[in-house]
Amino acid sequence: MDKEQELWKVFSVRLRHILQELQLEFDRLQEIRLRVQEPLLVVYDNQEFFVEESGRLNSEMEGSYIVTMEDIRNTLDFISRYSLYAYEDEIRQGFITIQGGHRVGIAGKVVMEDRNIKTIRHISFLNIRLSHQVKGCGNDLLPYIGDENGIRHTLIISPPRCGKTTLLRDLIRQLSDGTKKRKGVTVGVVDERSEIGACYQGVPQNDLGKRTDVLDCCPKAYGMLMLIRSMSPVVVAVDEIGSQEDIEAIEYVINAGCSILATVHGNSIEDIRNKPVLRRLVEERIFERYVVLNNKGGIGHIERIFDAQGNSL
Amino acid sequence: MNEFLMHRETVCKLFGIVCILIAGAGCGAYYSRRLRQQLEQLRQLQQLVQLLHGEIKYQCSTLPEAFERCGRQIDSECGDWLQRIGQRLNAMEGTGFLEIWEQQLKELKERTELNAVHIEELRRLGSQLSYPDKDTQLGALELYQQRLRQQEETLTKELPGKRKLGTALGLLGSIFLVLVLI
Repeated sequence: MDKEQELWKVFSVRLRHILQELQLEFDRLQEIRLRVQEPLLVVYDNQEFFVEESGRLNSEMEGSYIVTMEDIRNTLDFISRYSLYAYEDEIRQGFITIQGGHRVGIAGKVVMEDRNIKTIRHISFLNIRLSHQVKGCGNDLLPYIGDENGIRHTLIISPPRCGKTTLLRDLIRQLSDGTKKRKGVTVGVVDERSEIGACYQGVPQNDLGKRTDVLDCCPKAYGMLMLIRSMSPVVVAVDEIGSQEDIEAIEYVINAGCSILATVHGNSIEDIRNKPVLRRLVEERIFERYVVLNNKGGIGHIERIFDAQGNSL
Repeated sequence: MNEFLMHRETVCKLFGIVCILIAGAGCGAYYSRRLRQQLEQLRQLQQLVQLLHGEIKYQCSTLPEAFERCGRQIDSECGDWLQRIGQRLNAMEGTGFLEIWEQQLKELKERTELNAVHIEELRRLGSQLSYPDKDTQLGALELYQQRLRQQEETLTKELPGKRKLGTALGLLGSIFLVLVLI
């Protein structure tokens, strides 16, 4: 079954029919938003549209399909395969990754226990963010991060929805498979949110290359140490670093002689410098390359590349 | 000639009596075999629930995954039944969990010796399995397991008596029929 048909199956029967009627180019579809008693919305080609019951896109709200609680409940049943309990940890983080690597953001009533999020009840808002593997999107960047001397510690900085995971995924694939100029190397991926490899029952749904080992759903800090100890990677790749534990694990990876490939939310190096936890990474020049993304020229557009000193390359 | 006809009638009657008695005894045997099968199926359900409990507690599997895997391990009518539910859930055909569970329960009732009480217990379990948290799921399975154990114990205790009763009733019934017909 193709990725598109696979995705429609997670929606309630009514929504399935409406979305299937849309006849969209699947690769350009980015988000589907469900909010109870609000219109059904999609983000297509970076533009937001209302969806009519007849299966047409409209920039005006009039005539659009209103999402019901039943739609949300049924969709949630299919997303979780009737087993929300199996996604307790993911729900605590506010999302579930489904087959195909798509991420479903969840919002509703948050239940707290001892100042920690226990679960989310009365889930009434879903945001299905589609994952698209864009093979070759890292071609321009590859010469900056690796040469015959090895692979440089690289940090990809990007605001949400600018394609940092897509770019990271392609870099992993190319480093692992190798190119005409460079041999492939062993890459260890810690995929805490199942977004990079989109593993389904242990098998990556996205192509991450021949020499890639994936630790799926594993906290980054633990995963990096586990990979170093057990899988002897040349490169360790992680998505969305941010905590103190992540930084300590990155230092461990670098001290072990491996290269690190990571992404972080932000708009610029300055942004990273202003974050207390991440500041040290910039000040101590741990990373040798900083890649800043924006979506001005489309998803995954590279704004600038900097070296460890912050000089533009 | 008359003597020959009378003799033939007596032989026919005797043959009929023997047939009725055999049928009566067969009914008794069939009844006790059904009871034995019922006990066996209760044990299969217990095994399935135990496996499901482990799948949910330690593997954190989703229900379709757990159903299919556990069903495959128990090669029986109950195992096939659970496997079929797993397959249907996995297919995400658009039907709700409870609806699928109910539909498959009807099939289970037709294919097994489980009685209305057993089916009702399974129906109750189905309604609890759609709860979103793990503790409730495990609690529901443990409770059901307990009930199954009680049902099994009761049936094991009653089985010899019921089997005797079944056989005796079959025979007595056939004797009564013979007397009525003669």
